[in-house]
Amino acid sequence: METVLGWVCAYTPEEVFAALGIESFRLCGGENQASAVQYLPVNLCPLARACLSEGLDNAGTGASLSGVVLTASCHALVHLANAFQHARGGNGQFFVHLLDLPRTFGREDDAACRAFAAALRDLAGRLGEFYGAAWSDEAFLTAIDKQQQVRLLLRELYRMRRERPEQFRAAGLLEVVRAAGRTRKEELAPVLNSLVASLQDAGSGDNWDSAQDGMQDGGPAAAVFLEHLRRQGSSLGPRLLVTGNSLPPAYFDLIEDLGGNVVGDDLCQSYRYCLPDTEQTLDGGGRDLFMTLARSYLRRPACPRMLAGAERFAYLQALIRECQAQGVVYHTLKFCDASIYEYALLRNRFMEAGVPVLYLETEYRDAGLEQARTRIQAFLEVLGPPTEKY
Amino acid sequence: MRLMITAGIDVGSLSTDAVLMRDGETLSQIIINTGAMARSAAERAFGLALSAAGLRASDVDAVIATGYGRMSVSFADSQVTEISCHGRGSAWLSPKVRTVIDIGGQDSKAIRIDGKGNVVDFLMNDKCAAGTGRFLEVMAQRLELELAELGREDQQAARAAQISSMCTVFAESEVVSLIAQGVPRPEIVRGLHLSIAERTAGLANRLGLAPEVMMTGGVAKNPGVVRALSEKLGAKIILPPEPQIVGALGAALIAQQKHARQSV
Repeated sequence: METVLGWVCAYTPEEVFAALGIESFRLCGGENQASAVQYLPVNLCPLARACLSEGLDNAGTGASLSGVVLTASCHALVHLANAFQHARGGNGQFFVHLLDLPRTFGREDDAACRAFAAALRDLAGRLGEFYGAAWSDEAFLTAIDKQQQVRLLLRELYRMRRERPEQFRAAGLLEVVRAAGRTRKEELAPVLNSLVASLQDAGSGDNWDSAQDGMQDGGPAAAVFLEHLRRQGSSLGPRLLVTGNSLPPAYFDLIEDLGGNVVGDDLCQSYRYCLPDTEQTLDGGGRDLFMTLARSYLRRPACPRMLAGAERFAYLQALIRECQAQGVVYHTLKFCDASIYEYALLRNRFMEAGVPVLYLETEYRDAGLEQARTRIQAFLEVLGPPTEKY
Repeated sequence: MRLMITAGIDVGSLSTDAVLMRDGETLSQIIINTGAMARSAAERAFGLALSAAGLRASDVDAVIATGYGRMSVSFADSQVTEISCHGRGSAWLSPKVRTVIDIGGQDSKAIRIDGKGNVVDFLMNDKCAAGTGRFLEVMAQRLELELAELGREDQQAARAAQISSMCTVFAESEVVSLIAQGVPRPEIVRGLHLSIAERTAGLANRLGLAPEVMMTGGVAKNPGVVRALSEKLGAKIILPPEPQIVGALGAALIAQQKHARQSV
C-alpha cells in the first residue's frame, strides 16, 4: 500500500513536501469520528477528532499514513499531534511533527516570518532525514511554481462561482479544493486548466454540457470535478459569505437547497487554501527560499486563530463587497475557542456595519443538519426582499 | 367574492397546532400532541381544525406548514420557519411587540421584529432541550406533577432551591438530590423556573431586548416561568390568549399574504 504524509491546516507548506518528493494528503475528516474516542476527549474540536479518525482508519486515502505534519495553530491540533504520536508514533516508524506557527495578529511581522522560516527549515531537515530524501532548491522552486499555478486556477473557479453562483455547487468547489490538497500539483494543474478553460468557454447560461464536451486534455478527473461543481436547480436567493471554521459539504448543499447562494467563503479547506501568493523568485536576491515561503504564508489574510479582529473584519468587509454578499454565515465548531471568541467580536462589528450575520455551530457532522435547517431558512427569510419572502 | 381561507400548521416537537383563518378572522384552532409521526399529526390537526370550522380541505386556499416537522407536511403549499411565523403572529396579536421570546418543546428563541412582524434578527438556544418545554416535562415527571401544575406549585414556594445545571440529565440528578435532602417541592419547582428564566434572559439580552416583549410557545402557559423571566429581564411580558398557537397563526397569516400576492 502506498504511504502518504498527512496534514490538516492551511498554513502547512505543501511545497516543502513536494520539493522532497513526499506524497502528501490533506486530512479533512469525515462523518466517522469513532476511532478518535480512544485518544481524544469528546469535548475537543470535532474537526481534530474527525481527522484523527480519518488518519487512523486510512479512510478515503487509498493509502496508509506514514506520518503527519500538524501546525501548532490551536490547542486541538497540538492534542491531535500528541494523539497521533501516542497511537502510531511508538516505534519510530511514523513521522509526527508539530510545526511552530507564529501568531501574527494580522500584521506584517519580520520576527514572525524569520521564526516561521526557521520552523520550515527545521521541518525540511527532519522530513529529509526520516524519508531519506535529498533537498534541492530547484525542486523547491518547481514545487512553489506548481502550487502557485494550482492556487491561481482554483481562484479562477471561485471567481466564476462568485459571478454565477446559481450554476456552481458550493460543496463541489469545496470537494475540488480538498482534492487539490491530496494530489500532485504537476498532475492537477493540467486538469484544472482544462476545467477552467471549458467553463470559461461555456460562459454564462446553462451550458455545462458544452463545458463537458469542451474538455479535451483534462481527462476523467476534470469530468469528475465538473460533475462535482454542477449545481442542480438554481436560485436567485440571497447571496451569502461563509466564514469561521471549516463547514462540512452537506451544510453548503443545505444552504443551496433552501434557496441561498454561497458566493464566497473564507474557510481553511476552501478559499483560504488558494490565497498565499508565493513569490517565485529568491528572496531579496539571497538564497533563503524558506524566508520567501514563510512570508507568503504569513502575509495571507489571517484566519480566526491569528486573533486579528480588526484586520479580519476589514478583510471580511472587503470580501463581502467583492462578492456582493447580503449576509454572512459564521460557522463555529463546537469547543473551538478561537472562532467562538472571534464571532463575539465580529458580530458587533457586523451589526454596526448593517451586515446580517447567522451564527451556526456544528459538531462537524451531518447529525445537526435539521437543526441547522431552521436557522439557515430563517436567515434566508430575514434576508429576502419583503415582497418575495416565503 | 368569496373571502380567502388559509391554514397554518405548526408541527412542533411536543405539540402540533393548526389555525384556520378567513380574511384575518380565526375560524378554528387546534392543539394536539405530535407523537411519533409528524406527518400524521399534521393531517389530524388539520382535519380537526376543518371539522371545528365546518369546512372541507378543498375550501382552504393556502396552507403553510411551520415548526420542526414542517418538511413532512406534504399537503402544505410551502414551508416557513417558526421564527418568521412567531414574529408575524405576535405582531398581529399586538402590533407594538418588538421582541418575541418563544420557548417551545425542544428549543427556545429570541426574535426581534419590526412593526409589520418581519424578523429583523434572531437567536436560538443551543442544540439541546435545556430550558425548554421538554426540560420542564422531564422535571415534572420526576416531581410527580402534571406539567400544567408547575405554575401553581411555584406560587406556594417561600424561596427558590438552587439548580445550577441546565442540562436536562444533570438537572434531573440535582432534583433527585434535592428531593432526598427534603427540600419542599414548590421550592424545587421555583428553582427550575428561575434557571430557565436565567438562560432565556441571557439569550434575549444577547439579541438585544427591545420593548414590548411577548412570550409565545407552550412554556408561556406556565406563570412561574413568565414571572421569573419578567423579573430577570426587568420588563413586562405580554402573553397572547393562547401562546401555543402563535406559530400556526403566523403561518396562516403568511399564507394569506402569499396567496393574495400569487392571485394578483
